[in-house]
Amino acid sequence: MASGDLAHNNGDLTTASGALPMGTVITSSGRVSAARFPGDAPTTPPFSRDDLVALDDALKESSEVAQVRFSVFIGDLGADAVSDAKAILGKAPEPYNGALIAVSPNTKDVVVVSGKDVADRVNDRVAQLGVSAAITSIRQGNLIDGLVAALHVMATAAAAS
Amino acid sequence: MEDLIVPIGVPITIVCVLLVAACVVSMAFSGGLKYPKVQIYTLDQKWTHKPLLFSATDIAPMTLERHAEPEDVDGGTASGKW
Repeated sequence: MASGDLAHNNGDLTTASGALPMGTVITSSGRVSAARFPGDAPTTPPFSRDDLVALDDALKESSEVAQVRFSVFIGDLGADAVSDAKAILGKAPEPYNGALIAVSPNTKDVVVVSGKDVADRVNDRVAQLGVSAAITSIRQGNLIDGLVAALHVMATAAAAS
Repeated sequence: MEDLIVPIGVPITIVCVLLVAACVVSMAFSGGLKYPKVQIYTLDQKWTHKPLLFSATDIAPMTLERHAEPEDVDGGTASGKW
């Protein structure tokens, strides 16, 4: 995994350090660092190192440029994808000041939601820009490229407004 | 001093030899255990992995922490399919 930016594995993560599995710690930056034992199945995200680094950099740069805490979710969304994405944003860091790009590979959904405090900057129009940027690359088979493009587009639009 | 060489030196030497032998045996039997390679996901596959949530964590907090409220996430929304 790319250093630093993996916040958590939604749902299964226990934040109390005492409840973490053996060989696992929470670093000072909030990242969970876990030892992997021989024979264990990989727990790293199923993407190449270059992709993870690119996503890592894009999240950091976009967040700093726009002063909006961007997050990315990849996983299954239910029938009401927007509602599910809002629930996931609620679990992300600083949800009131954040924006989430959620991708559901199995249902082919892309959803962007933002927090209350940034609703004027990451509004429906900016969110739609993010969705369009993501879909353009995803249709070409590049999931991470689509997410990176969406982050850059939304950060630029949010910073300008 | 010379009297202590045998009673102290020999046990230490034996212990060291045994530890080295244990390391060699352990390396010989663990040679077949490999870390499974990460299977790279592509969009033509079904997503069978756990949900992933990425967020920049090595940046300074942008706002003061406060209690979460349901309306915190009532901002802009957009969705689409590919």
